[in-house]
Amino acid sequence: MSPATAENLQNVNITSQNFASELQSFFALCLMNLVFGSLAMAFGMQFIVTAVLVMAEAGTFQWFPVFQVLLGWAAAVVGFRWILSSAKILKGVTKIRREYRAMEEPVPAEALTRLIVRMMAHYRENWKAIWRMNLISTLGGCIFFILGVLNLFEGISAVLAGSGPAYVFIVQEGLTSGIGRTLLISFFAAAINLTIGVVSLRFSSWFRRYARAWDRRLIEASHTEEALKHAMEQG
Amino acid sequence: MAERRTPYEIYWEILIFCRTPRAFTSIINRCDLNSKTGQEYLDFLTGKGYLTAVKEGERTGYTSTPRANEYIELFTRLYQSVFDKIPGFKL
Repeated sequence: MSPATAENLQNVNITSQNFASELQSFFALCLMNLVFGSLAMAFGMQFIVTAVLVMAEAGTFQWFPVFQVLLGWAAAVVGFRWILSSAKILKGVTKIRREYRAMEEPVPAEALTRLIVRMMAHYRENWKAIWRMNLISTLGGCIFFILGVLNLFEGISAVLAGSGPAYVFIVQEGLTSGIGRTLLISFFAAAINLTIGVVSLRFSSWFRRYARAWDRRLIEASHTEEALKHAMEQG
Repeated sequence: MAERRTPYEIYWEILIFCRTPRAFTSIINRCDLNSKTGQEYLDFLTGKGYLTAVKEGERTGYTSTPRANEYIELFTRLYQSVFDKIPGFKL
């Protein structure tokens, strides 16, 4: 094997490893996104049910549960859109991933290039959905963040409604007492919602990073067209 | 970004696939083309001397010519460098 061929093989191996790692990362992101979309929809619905039950129990009109219903509805709708977009993107990535995994090592240069072309085609086909995912994740993140903050307020207002600090109730009456239970449930819900909110915002930044990398690659690929056109015309 | 692949990407896919003689239907299936555009691409590549039509009984097969190698190599090199040049996405 000549040194030039050996170097070429090594370069293909490096590209192949980078491709595999990028494909794996994007696949994981899409999968996690699908899970979080489902969670967003489920928690949104749960918020609606809980708020309606609170209103029914109170027997009077209250603004706070109405606000919670609206936010829950928004979370459920965003979650549904989230699942649809993620599933569409995931389908294409899964196909490419399956093809890559079926290849034997070392991956031939042309087979690898074919997968790169397919990833480019996948991005061209799904760039709107990917930018929409970025938007949905940001929106979902903000909604869950607000829901989390509302839970915190709920817990704090339950404590303020009682006389004395919360720990006194918890210590004296345990977590099964009215205020202790409200406090525990509110803080637990706040922790879940704030976690989903923060992770969703992180997802949106990952989607932005992925989209930026492929946008730049498409621009670079369009620059190569002149050389390819020239080669084709010479033929 | 209306089109999924550029014409140069499609030329490359056809030329790679036709390293061994291929029938028209298998080319359009593999390269995800419809009959009309598939025929246009094959006519273009045949006209440029990158593909030759080989008669095998009643059927016509298409094969890449040695002249296609230069384009195939250039495309492979350029696209790999495009991928390598831009830092990729990693979690």
